[in-house]
Amino acid sequence: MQFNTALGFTLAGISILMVYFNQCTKARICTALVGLIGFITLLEYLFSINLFLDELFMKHYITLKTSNPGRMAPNTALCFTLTALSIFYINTRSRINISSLIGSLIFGLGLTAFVGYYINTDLTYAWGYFTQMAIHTAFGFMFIGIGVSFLSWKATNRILGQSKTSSLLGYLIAIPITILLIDINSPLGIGVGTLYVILVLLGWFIDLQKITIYLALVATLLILIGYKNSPTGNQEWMAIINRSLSIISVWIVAILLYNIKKNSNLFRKNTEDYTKTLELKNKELEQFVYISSHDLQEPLKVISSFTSLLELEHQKKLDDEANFYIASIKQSCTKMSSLINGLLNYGRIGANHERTLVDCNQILNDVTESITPLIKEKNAELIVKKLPRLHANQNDLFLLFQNLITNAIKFQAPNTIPKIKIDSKEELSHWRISVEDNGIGIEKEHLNKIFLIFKRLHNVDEYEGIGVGLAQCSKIVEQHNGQIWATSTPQKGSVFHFTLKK
Amino acid sequence: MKKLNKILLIDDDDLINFIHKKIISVSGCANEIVYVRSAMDGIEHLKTTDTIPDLILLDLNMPAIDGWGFLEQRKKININPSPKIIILTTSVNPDDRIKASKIKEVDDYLNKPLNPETITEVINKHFEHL
Repeated sequence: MQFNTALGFTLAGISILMVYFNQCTKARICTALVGLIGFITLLEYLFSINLFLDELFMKHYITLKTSNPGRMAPNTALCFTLTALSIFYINTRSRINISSLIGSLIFGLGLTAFVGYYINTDLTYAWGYFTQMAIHTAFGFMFIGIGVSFLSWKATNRILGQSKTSSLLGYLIAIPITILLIDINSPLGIGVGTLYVILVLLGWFIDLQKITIYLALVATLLILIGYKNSPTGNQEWMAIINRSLSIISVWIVAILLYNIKKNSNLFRKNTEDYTKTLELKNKELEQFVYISSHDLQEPLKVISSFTSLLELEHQKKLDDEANFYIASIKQSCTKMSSLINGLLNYGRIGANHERTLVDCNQILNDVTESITPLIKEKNAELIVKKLPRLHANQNDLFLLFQNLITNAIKFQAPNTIPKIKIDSKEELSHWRISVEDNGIGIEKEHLNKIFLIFKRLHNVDEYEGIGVGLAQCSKIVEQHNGQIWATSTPQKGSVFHFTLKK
Repeated sequence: MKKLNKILLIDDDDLINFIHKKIISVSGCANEIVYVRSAMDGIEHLKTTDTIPDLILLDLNMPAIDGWGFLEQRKKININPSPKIIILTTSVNPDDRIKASKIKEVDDYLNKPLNPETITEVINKHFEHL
């Protein structure tokens, strides 16, 4: 290995590390230097000139088989140029993962050179009469190739629709050639055929469903070519058995992978379809709720207006029973109107996704202000501990606290003074906030039902309401990736807990 | 004309109870019409009353314990003779109808609002011995 080669490796290693730690500028400088070393050397070879790079840093000491003292091999220079290119393209978002593709080519060049030493074929590491790539250089490039490939896979992992197929090209070419070379140079094809399993395994990363089968066909062909061209000696039957076993193992892996791939593709497709249907249904439902509740208001308004007219113009002419009927119609109209409004409001929660840094203490002040009449009427006592600041939708959070506190005041036994404690606790990734009251409590079997829309536990004349408050709370908390639940002792009081992401 | 001794209405809505009571009175098919406003009150009534109703008209959607819950509770008490139970609901959800058909205590399933013809028809159908 020449000095420049070692220098190139050091710089390439540093720049890969810098990319990994997101140090863009440092990575660019190191990469540019690697590219320069490789590219200038390539120019020297191409135009048969001496640009004095070879002995720039150090006097040469390797004289054996070098084109020029201190000059690295042309394939080494090519590999360095490619390394620089692939690191430059590492974050490029295109349909083809260029960086990974080049990485695989570097690996391929390294691998073939490395194997060349193993099987004593200088064809793969020595290009013509020029300097030869050293065995440890070849080994190093295999590492760099894989490293760059993986790094770019990692960097571009989230790009949808990007095919990994192209980025495997280098491996797909280098691996079969290498194995064939090893095969031809090994006696009897001992076990070499099974190396083709690696080739088939690569098929896993390629989108084409039948790829493993195709690769197995290629492997089979190559195993047969290997049989033709390798020394069999006089134990031909052994070679035949070896190669048959290799072919069998290649096909077992190929068929197995094919089936797994088929199933996982099917599963993925089903999941995608299911998600799509679900999203569509959800949207339909939202629209249904909104439109229907909106349109329902119209006739309801007409009914209620005519009832009022009837009352206004004919009240005196009608008897008590008729007037009771009119009052009942009006009462039901009001109830229906509030039900529809409840549904509309419930549907609207989450329509506005805007999140800001919200101070819950401030929100609580606003809520207290908005329900002052209720607090005064019931003589309620609010004890508020220090609450957190977090990213949330301000209006939603207001509604959440308002609903919970109103409920805490509302669901009280007659003649008790409501005492409500609001506290918060910091957890690992969430804030847990609790609203505790001394109210009538909830039976254990109803604790899950209370968060369903229009679900009520009491008749309207006992505790008024339409049953959307807690449903709203539940939806708001869900929209903020939290959870809501209640614990309670009947006749003693309830605690409503909810978590909000920090 | 068949006439029952007593009908029990179970519904949380007072206006609905009023209307149903009125309609049954108009149809003249019961001597006594009583209503309660929750499933538990219904059970309590069955346990304590001197005259067991011949027919119960049961609403499904009620606060706390709903109509289904009433049917569960009903199984736990022993009343003789057992009153017929007809579900009378606003629910147009076919699932509810199917669910009701699988419960042997439920004799029929009607949708609100009730009218004099329906109640007469139902009584003729379920009380042949009268």
